[in-house]
Amino acid sequence: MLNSSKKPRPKKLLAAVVAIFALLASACSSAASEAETTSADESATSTDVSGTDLPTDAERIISLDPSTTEILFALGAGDKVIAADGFSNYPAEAPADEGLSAFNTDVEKVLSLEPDLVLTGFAEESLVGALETNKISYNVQTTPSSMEEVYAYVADLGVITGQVDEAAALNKDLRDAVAEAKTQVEAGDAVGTKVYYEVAAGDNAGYYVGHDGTFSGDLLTLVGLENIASADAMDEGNLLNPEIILTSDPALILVNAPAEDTTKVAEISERDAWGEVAAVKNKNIVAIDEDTSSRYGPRLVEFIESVTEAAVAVSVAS
Amino acid sequence: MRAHKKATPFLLGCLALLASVLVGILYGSVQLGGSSAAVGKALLDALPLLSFESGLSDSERNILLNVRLPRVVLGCLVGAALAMSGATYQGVFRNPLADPYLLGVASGAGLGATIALVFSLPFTWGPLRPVAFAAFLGALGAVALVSVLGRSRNGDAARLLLAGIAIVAFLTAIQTYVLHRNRESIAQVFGWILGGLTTSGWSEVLFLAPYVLVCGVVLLAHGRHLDVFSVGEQEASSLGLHPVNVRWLLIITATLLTASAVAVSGLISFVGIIIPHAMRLLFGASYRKILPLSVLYGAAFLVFADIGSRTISGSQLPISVITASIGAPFFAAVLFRRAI
Amino acid sequence: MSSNVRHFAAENISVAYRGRKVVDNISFSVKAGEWLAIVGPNGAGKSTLLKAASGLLSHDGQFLWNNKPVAHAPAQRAKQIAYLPQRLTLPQAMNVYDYVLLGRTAHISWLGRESKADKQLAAEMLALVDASAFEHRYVTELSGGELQRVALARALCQQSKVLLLDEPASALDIGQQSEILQLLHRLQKEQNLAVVTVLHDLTHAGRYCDNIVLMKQGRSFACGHPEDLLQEEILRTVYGTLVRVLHDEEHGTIVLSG
Repeated sequence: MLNSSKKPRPKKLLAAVVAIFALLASACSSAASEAETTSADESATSTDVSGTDLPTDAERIISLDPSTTEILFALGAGDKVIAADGFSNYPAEAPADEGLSAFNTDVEKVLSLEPDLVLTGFAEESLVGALETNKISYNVQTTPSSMEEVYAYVADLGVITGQVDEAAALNKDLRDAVAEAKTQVEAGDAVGTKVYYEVAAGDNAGYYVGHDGTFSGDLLTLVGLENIASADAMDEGNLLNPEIILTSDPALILVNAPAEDTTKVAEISERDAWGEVAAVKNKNIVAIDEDTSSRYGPRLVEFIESVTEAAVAVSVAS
Repeated sequence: MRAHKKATPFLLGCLALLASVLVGILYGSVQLGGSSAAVGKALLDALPLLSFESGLSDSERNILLNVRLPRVVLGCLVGAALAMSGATYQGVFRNPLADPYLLGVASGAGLGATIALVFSLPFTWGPLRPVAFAAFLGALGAVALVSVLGRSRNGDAARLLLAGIAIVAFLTAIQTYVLHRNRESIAQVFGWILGGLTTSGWSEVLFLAPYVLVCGVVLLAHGRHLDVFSVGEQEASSLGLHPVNVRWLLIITATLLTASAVAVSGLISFVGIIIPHAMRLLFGASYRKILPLSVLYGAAFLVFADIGSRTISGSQLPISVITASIGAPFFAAVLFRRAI
Repeated sequence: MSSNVRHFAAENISVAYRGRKVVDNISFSVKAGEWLAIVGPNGAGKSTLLKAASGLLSHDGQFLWNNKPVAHAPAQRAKQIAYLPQRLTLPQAMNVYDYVLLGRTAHISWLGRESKADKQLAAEMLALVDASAFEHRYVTELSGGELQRVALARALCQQSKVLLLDEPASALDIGQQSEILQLLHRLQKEQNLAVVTVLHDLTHAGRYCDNIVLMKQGRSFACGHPEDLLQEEILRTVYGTLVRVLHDEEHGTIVLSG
């Protein structure tokens, strides 16, 4: 999973194409607005879930989003999760063995489980249509673009599952972890350390990064570090140009990798032209367990800790 | 005796279709009511005037009648539509590789779906959801563009195919550009392109059925004309067929049929090519046989492919993986046969 | 040109490709029961003239059947004129009988199918060209002579009184050549057809045809009876080479090159 947020839309160059579709479809658009309001609305972000008609007493929840699964279990609502998608590998007791997926969803299986609420990260048409037909509530949560959105989503899930206090407690844990990290960064004299956070290597054109318009990139700023990638610097394909990375000269490079995988660290240190970057020269390249960084849930605490540790280590070494 | 011999392929086709429908209804990703017999009873119970105690819960009955049954019916309709359109195109262009995808149906639908997915277009039309609607418009738009560009005074069919190649390349370029600028949508677009018979109830069937009915009747009525086409447009003309009129009628009908199928099922590959060819190899080259047989065997093939797609692996395998993995070797075999 | 006998006529026919006149102001007339040969060097416009007559090329001037313009719509025209091109496009896996039945296309309504009478006619025509024995073989499996006979049966199925054939004997060995031309001669007399053929072989033209149109560079160089036209000096002018013309009591006019 990528932490990239959605770019503002529509793109100018394609406005014309879209306009043609809009023109052709305008006659039928009234039916569209009707369909969109029957249940949770895709365009409504998590900050607004409690404003819709989602149930507050859901007992049979299907989660097709790993982050959502983690939060539900952290809220103590795990017993209400009757099924989760195949990527929901945490916690271990998450019921992920039904072979469900948010993409190309097995609608028959979803309905056979008789859920009263489906939470997903992607609005697949056939699934959404079947849920609407069968009057089953659902919510589509796209990846949050800041920690505030994460807090809001956690609070909403608390309302939905009737675990409001637990949600508040989880949010407090997260906020405390951020505050504690900030203190450590200050104590370790690491405030303002320049960080480059690589989510995935792209092609020659650039890299997928945790810029400040993503919840994980937002965290870097919140604990007092300087994220060299701003959302504005991303190109149209949501990639960061390597020239920006090299001229920013980050002191620390974080890279997403599966746990225990060191090949990505080695790959970055061997990149042509990257040898002069401070982080590479001083061997300050740290692998981050991608499960903890790509999921906006309770395990963000672990992510915060590993980031802080790495930043303080840079400061000590210099 | 001759009549008996003629009827055999049709009889076999009906049996294959019946078998596919039965298997498709009885087996799914969940076992309903504990046994196939219960499913059968519930099905009969749903018919008017009949009453059976099936033991299925309301929820199970709902899944059977509103998820599984429409999916099987949709498989029949899409399979029949793609196979008939493919046969028609091969006849009109006298080209064994022709199918409506060549004239931009696939790339137009792909671009439409991409734009709808990337920009989260809200437009719907009747039972069509935004992506399906945009795909339908895209497919028809692309073929209209190809037809305008590929017009020629003497009615040369090759021009149309060349225009198709140009438009397909152009639309694919736009689609790639849109995707390049919106990489986060790649998984969704890719999922749509692979195609599938996922339904949200009967709405897709209700949309597609009238097209299959009307276009199907038109195509089936023109099997004799396609046979006349097999001597080439010039000879067909001197035999008394108006080649340009007939060609356009058939191209428009087959395109409309494919576009409507693609709108609800994505780009399911190879059905339009392998089914008509299989009919030709097995039962003879007359389109009066190929067209109706394509309906039966195309429907049965796609329903079986869909059964494979939902049972072979744990999660749902894209149906094109099945159709193409059967289609490609078949195709290679046909080419090999031709070579020797 | 008018007469009481029914006839097929071309009046001032011109065909232009990109401004270049390939056929320039040609006129001819063939009575029912007569055979007209169009001869001339390669590139003279013979095939183009025949294509125009069959309605496949737009042209200036008009073709008449019984003093009335030939129909424009393919279905009506196919009932008046049957045409066989020099190279037939052969359908895959179609048997001879079904192929001959295609000749009935113009006589079947849009959504109709072949009647019993249509099928019977196809069988009769197959018998007429002596092809009944192989009616179940694929047309792609036939020898050149067999195919030409089958194609002739298809054309006869159109039941038109005008038959246009583009080099019906050119791809055949000499045995098959005389076989097909004798067959054509017989049918043309029996069925009272107006036949127009492009012919390469001047000896054949002299032997079987009632009249000849001699074309050169799109124009009609001369037309008339074979014995008047097949003269050494005329042919030398048209073909640009020395020609010997022999007269044989048994075989008629024989034209040799060199």
